[in-house]
Amino acid sequence: MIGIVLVAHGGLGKEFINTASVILGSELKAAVGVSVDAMDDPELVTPKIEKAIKDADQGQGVLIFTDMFGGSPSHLALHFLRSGHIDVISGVNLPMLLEAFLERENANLTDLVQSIKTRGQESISLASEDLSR
Amino acid sequence: MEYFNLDSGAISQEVVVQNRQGLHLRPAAKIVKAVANMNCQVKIRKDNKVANAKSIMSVTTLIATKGTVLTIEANGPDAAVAVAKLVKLFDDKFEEN
Repeated sequence: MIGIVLVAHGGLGKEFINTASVILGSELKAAVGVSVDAMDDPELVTPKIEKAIKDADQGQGVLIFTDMFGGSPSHLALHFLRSGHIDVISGVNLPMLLEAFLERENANLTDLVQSIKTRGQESISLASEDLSR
Repeated sequence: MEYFNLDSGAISQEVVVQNRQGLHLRPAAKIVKAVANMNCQVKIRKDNKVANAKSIMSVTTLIATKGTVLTIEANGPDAAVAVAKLVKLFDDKFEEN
């Protein structure tokens, strides 16, 4: 199983995981949220991310989601990028997170991240375009 | 409603969305979890829209409200089991109301 870590501003990361857990109807294993506040010292946050990765890692790799590319959570998470074992997807949304939880059991990290990135982008919908067809 | 063969190994069955809130996220997640590891392709059809039953995003795009008639189509070694599992979920109203 691929571990999932969500690094985001404020309580977003933990709330994304809580919400996914409610929708999927079960407690989510190997899933850890890390809160990053605007005034946090990066030297204090980095060990929290490191511990979250360690806790989530089941041996098949870890996928780190962050809330926005260029933000502090993303900057800090990128330090842990490790080809083939740890990857970082920025700009998390709920559909891509749900897909990741539903597919991570038997997936490999390289295939999963490509699929999740594509589907996250495809999940964005403009009602006036998509519902009028 | 009866099973009928489309071609070799393919099975199709109509179902009706009976739960009050329709196919929102929690029922969609139950659909995906029911068939995710099955050795078959599973589609859910609403008129001309076809969703992959192994993708929660795809299932929710059907926007199927209560009363909507859908067709489940499965193809592969586990097709019959997959269809039966999904039919039961719909019949049980996804354990909602």
